Amino acid sequence: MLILFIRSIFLYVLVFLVIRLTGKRQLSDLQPFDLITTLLIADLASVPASDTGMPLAYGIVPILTLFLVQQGVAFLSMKWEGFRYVMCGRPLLMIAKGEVQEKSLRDARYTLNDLMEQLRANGTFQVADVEYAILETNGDLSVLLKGPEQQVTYGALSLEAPKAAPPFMVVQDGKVHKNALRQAGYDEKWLLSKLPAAGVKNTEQLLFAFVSGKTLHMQAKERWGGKAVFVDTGAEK
Amino acid sequence: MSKGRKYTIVSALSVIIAVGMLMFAFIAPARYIGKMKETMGFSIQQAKDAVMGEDMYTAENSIEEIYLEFQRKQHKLKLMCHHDNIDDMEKSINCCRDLIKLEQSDNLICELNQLQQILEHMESVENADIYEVF
Repeated sequence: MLILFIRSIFLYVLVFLVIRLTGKRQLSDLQPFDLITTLLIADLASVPASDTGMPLAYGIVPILTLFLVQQGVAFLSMKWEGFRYVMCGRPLLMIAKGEVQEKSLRDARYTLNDLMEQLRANGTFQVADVEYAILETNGDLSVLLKGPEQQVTYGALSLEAPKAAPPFMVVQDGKVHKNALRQAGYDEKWLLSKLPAAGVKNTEQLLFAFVSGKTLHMQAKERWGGKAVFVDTGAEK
Repeated sequence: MSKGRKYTIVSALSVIIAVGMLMFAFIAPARYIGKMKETMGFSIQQAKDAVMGEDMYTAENSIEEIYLEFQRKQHKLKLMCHHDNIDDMEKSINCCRDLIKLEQSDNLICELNQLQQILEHMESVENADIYEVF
């Protein structure tokens, strides 16, 4: 039993490293060759993990081989466009200028139901609202709505847009994220000066704190009152 | 050094390490088993000839040589061969040792042939052969 335990850990580490080194992609974003490699590696690792009569090399060699093939395919795809098209396919225009392209539907083995399902998943319920729809190589459908159906932007209305900045989580479960605080343009001294607004004395009593634009959003832990406050930071950093 | 560059270097290094490990896996086991087949095959043939010539003393010595060779190499063999094959080999060698003591020449020849077949099978698995591939 101990052998099974050790073998499983060894193979887990190996599979983890190989998957990690092949790239940080979500399962849904995988290209066909990525998907094949991921599925095969998982399957190959499971056999020697449970069969103690099989040397670990019988699992390691195919996993390393797949890793090399995958790296080779990824490299060639980056270098040669033609190879990339063969391996990943081309994006297909499913709707062009509001018209559904039957040939593309056939090429992609897509039914109208599949197309409607993907459109609905994109928040569009009528084909009439769509100017262009492109089936990407990873299976996602990108949709460009007709002019009148598109969302109004600050630019279209000639309005001054607020500065786009991601919210920084500067405190998480009582722990200060110094990097995030520095990226937001503040320091711990500043953060401590804002704590009384949330009714707490130190950062350990905070559940979280976000800096988003001009606003500091803090919430105290339940045992310290659980108060949530929005503090104006004054100047936007 | 940026994170992206570090990742590229780690990725390239891992490819080099993987290639190295695969080259080792292709060459080392095949050579090891090939050598073992050569020495054991010679002893098996010697034992068979001795049994045919009813020289049981030489046959026993040859079988003991096979046994000692197997004892020396069985742990390393477990790293590269399916353990079922190694178990079969061990059984066959032990059977040969018993049969020589019982002086059962006919059965001993059969068992030595089987041992030779196991060795040939173990070697063929490590060699690129179209029939083994498919």
